Amino acid sequence: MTVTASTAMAAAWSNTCSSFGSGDQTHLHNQSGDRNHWQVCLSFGNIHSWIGSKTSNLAIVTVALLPVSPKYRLKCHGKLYTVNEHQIHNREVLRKIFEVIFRPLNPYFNADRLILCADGRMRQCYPVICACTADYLESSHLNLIKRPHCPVCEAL
Amino acid sequence: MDLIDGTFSHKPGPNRLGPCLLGTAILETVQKLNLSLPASNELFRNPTMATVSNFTLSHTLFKRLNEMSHAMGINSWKSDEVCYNCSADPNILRDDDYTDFFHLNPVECNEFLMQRPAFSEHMSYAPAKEVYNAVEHIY
Repeated sequence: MTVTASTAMAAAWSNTCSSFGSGDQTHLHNQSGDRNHWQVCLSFGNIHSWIGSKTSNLAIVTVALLPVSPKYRLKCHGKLYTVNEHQIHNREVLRKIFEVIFRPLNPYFNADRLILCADGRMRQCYPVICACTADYLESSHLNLIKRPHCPVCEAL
Repeated sequence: MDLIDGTFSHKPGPNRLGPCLLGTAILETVQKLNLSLPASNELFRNPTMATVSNFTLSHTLFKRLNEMSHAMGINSWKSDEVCYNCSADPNILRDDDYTDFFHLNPVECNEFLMQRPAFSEHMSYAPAKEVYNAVEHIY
């Protein structure tokens, strides 16, 4: 990618708002069916943990409440094949949902946005998500990886 | 509506309030209402509202609650619908086939985080250029 002189000048006065996402599935209760809750959060990555983890600072924002895919209990011939087909479909749907949720960030990869900062000044910022933390279950869902393969490297 | 190879059916739902009543709003309530939280032992012995809050009238409490503004606006939540049933025909989908999910705009979330006063002393910004009276100031 070539960076023109004007873009380089603009970038010198710009801030990168490097946020990181996180998410996990939480089991709520068993009484009324298996109720799960899956939220995706956003926070800043370059903040001390003792500031970010303090709840009164509101350092973590819930971005989305994802739908939890239904469980299929099939009692028919070719059950395994059907369940696998559903699992692949559910993972693909989840990936598309993330695409829908984070689509508003796409224009800001190349263009900046004027954002009012905490010190009261307007700055040119690039809101990007630089990292995402998830446990192994979510990683395998999001990266469409067959378990028990590694979501980071190519090792089996 | 996005239909990609018949495997993914998604349509934007009505803009309605999600089930999530913003934990941020609750936290701001505690901060703005200046609730005096007693020690846990005292609360355990006498768990009445008088030990938790300074408010003696519920009217006063609810009046203060109504004056509050939510962190990012309660209308900023959007709901969309998605179909998990891969055996359903994507052209003929009933309302039962869709599952709701709720989300915010991540750009607005980023703006909200940038404006948090708790971060102001711990962030390092690039210089900001402002022009007053034809003179350029750099902060």
